[in-house]
Amino acid sequence: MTVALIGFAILIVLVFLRLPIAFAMGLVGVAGFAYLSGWGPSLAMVGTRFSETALSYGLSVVPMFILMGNLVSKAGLSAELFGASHAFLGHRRGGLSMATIVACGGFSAICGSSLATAATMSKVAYPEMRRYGYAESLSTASIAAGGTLGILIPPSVILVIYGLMTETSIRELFAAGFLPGFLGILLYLCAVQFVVWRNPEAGPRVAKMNWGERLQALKGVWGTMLLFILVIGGIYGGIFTPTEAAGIGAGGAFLLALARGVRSFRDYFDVLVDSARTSAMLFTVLFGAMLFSNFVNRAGLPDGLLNMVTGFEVSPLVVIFIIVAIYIVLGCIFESLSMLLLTIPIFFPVIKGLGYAGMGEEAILVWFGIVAVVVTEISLITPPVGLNVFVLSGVLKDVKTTTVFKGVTPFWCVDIIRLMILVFLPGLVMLLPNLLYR
Amino acid sequence: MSDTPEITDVKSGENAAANLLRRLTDGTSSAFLFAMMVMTCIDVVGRYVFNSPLNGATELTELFMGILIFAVLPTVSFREEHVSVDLMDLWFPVRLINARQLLINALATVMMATVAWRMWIFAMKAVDYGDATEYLAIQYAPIYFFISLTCAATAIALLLNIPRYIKGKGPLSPGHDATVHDDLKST
Repeated sequence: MTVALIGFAILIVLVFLRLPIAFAMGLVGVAGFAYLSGWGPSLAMVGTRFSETALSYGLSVVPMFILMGNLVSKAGLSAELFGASHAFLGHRRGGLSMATIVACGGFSAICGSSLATAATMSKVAYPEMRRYGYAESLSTASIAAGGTLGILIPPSVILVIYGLMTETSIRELFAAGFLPGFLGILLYLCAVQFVVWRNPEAGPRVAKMNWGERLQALKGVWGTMLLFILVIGGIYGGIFTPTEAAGIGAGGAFLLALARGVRSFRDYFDVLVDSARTSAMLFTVLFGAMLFSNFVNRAGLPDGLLNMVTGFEVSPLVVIFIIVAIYIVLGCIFESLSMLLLTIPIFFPVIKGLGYAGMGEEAILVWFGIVAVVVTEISLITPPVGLNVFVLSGVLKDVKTTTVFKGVTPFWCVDIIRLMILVFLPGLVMLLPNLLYR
Repeated sequence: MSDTPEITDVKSGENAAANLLRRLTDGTSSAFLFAMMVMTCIDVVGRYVFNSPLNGATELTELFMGILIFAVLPTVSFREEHVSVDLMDLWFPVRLINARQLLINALATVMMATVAWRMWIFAMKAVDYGDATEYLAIQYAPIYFFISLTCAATAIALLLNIPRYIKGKGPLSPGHDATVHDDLKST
């Protein structure tokens, strides 16, 4: 176990020196394994791991979900989503911010990426909010926070990878992510309400629309709804495997983009190349994580932790709180996927045997996957490094990151409340998976 | 301000040869990604609507994915788009950035060359055993050789970054402001 901890420390140093995370994990993984078992077996592991991972059917869901997300971003569906929620919520105080949150939720339902959601929404929602005189802190914060919904509401690339690493059912994970994601939307709406209650000038009212206009606005979102129902309904109902659903989703997004007038070959080529590059980046991290997790397991870190936890005889809740705290700290350093890949191999044996709230091994892994993703979401808006905030200030050049961080505080607080709800009421997470599959 | 268009921008490539290579790998990878999508759709629609699934689609999907991932790996590495932690960038002395990146690329070159070497051995073994997919009986060896060669190309791409940093013109060199967060779109 000491060897593993030293390896972990070296890893952190290398990562801080800006060695790409994938290479740092691979290096420590291979060198550490060689230290324990000799260079022969360690290097032999490289070939096996690379070929296994690159040619895995389960993982092919990743490039296709990424492609789907990039296609729907290209198709400009975000404008209609915002238009529709604007029609229903705009007349309320802070209504445009609420509309942004709801539209982000809707966009998350067809796109598995937080940063893409934040980037797309900022182009659509921010100009509107600015036009109606919304406070900059509120308008930017609602986009940054709304964007975090992207990785929890299915389809979610992170949940897929979590499922593959822990051998947890992806269908159940997708089912489990739905209600917490919905809860996230509701709590964010409360946060907006709180902001405008404290400072009514932050979000002035906009003219109310009549039902005719509202129905008209709704017409713009049927394509999005259809795609969501097809993909997620197909997975929930057991009609498609996740990979098939991702393929169908990407195909559907392609047709939507065609129907919406994206016609140039160049556009599609760019989207394809972009998706392939992003996939290659993710896979590189995955290769590194596989090598690292081999080493960590060989060094007995997970078992050591498990023994330590059982030895101390602390309650499961304390263990969960410690893990969550570790995640919040790590989330300030690591990019979300890398963080999960790095920690899951270490924590999941501990979680599996925890026996929290009477959940079995399968159920507790599903539940923990959701909790881990919610913590990751929180880290996306936590100062000083919340990535969504930086994406936003990258897209909106004249907005200071400090303004966004200030505005994001109420959203961050309700996120913590949500995390507590999910930890203390695991039944909420497991409701849908239990209904559908048990 | 000169009007001469900048032919060699830091991120995409240095010269015409590199440019051509990039187009080739980008093209290969996008073609396979698109094919994978179309194939999955045909398989599913075929199964539910016409009651005739596309046999062996699963196996092809696996192979396609290997190709699409590894074909773009050299470009991703040349452009230094790998996920890394930039938290210390604010405190890191600017004049040492080129030296740091030079060392990182040198280390990464060695690592990718090792992977290429191990994949080659792995591929040779697959030739000996005649490993093939179950249904379509496609040989695994060629794809393993492909992975080995693209990893070697990645090592070369990383190696090429070293002279770029010596000249102070690498993707992350001071003054070449590359947008880091664009590269993280999908997480």
